[in-house]
Amino acid sequence: MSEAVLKLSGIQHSFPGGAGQVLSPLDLDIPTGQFLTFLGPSGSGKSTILRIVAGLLKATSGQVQEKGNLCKKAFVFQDAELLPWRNVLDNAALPLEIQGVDLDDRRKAAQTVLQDLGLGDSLSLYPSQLSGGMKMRVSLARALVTQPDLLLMDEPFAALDEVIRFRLAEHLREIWLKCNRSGKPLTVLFVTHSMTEAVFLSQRILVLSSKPARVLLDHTVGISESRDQATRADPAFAREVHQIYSVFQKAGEA
Amino acid sequence: MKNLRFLPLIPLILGLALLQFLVNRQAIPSYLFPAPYQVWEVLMTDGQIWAALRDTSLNACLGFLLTLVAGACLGTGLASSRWIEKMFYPYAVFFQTVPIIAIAPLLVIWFGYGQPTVIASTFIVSVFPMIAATLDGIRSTDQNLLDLFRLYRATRLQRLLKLQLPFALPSILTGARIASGLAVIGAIVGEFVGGGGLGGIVDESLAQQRVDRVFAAVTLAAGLGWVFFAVLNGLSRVLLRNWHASQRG
Repeated sequence: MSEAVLKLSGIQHSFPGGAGQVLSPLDLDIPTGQFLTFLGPSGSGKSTILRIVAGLLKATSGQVQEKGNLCKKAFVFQDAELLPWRNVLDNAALPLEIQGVDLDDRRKAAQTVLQDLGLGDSLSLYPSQLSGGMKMRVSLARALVTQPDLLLMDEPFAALDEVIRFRLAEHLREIWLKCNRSGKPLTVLFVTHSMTEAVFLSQRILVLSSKPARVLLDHTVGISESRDQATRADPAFAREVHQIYSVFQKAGEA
Repeated sequence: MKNLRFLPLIPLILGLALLQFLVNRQAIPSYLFPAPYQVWEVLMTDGQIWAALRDTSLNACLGFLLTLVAGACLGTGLASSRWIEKMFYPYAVFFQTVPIIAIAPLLVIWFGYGQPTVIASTFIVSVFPMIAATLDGIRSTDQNLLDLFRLYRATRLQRLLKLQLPFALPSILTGARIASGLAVIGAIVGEFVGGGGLGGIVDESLAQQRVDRVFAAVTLAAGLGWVFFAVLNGLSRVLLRNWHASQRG
């Protein structure tokens, strides 16, 4: 593995007032280009980790070090969070617009990403005309349009139908593999509470306990990197899921 | 569905017919309630009343434009920080609670007779809903979207123009609709003391006990308010046509 793009040391967090401590001290090295999933029960502080890494929340104590401090980040939320007054193209181009990229350049960049995500025919539609899955694709395109080094995803597929979830997960893996092969590695931190989704997507899974979150298992997924829909029917896949499930059971979470 | 829009006309026509009938039978004295036909005659023959409508429309429009611009600016200013909101919001509420009838004579002293007083009165009566709606709209901006703008290091101005104000638009338009009705009321009150327009006609006709003329002027004023409201409704529909149905005004 290549050097760490991100190094968390002793990250801890408590919310002021009733909520109490949500993160026990967490130390973590994340190598460049890794697909890492935080898996844990609802309310276990998974999202808190992402928000701290994104710089949207200041940890109560501990440190986040980025490689060169110039790591380009993007965030995908559970809801697509599109701007309802903008069409698909201009929604995807938003981050470039904020960064001051010319209209033509940013539209071209957004169009390329949208086409890759199968939305080439929907550029002029508005969010109110899109299905849930399409909205999430636009949200993904908006995240990818800046060609980020680090993609933070907070249960992005949780609100979608399972069929669409499966397809988007396959698509996300393709994108991630393509980036890493093209020499512009994309590190993904993915939050989910679905064990099958975690196993299908990730190279590495951190299984977290419920609040305050601590790492129950730091697991490297043992199935081949070329995964498609058939992977989900593979006995090796089932074994991985079972292994994680038994960790939850042992910890008394299930 | 389309024919249903004419349904409100049925009670109107029945009501007018009943009123005409009662006045004709002298069940209601015509110095209390004019017969609808008398009001109609005033509207058809009195040129002054239409000139007054033109003046009132102009002044109400000017005052309302001032409300739109100043209300949106004041609301945005209040939304810019919790401190500023806490410090100044109680004074914004002043516009809502001020008894306009009581201070209207003062307006004449400050601004003089005619147009300036009418515009000031229009503004004072209608600006608060606009301030409150702008403030509310900006305050309700989605937290995740604010985070997204922070992540991409947007400037305050970018955040305001590309996120908060567009996000507040449905709320601002609702405020503007409420303000539009109040604007006509404010203009009439201003004309009561400042003279001119439909308010002036009402004042003058009351003194002459011309109830039919009062009713004609009041009808036109109410109609003017209705037109304001309809224009704003149409504008909302155009501006929000791409938004989700639940967010449409």
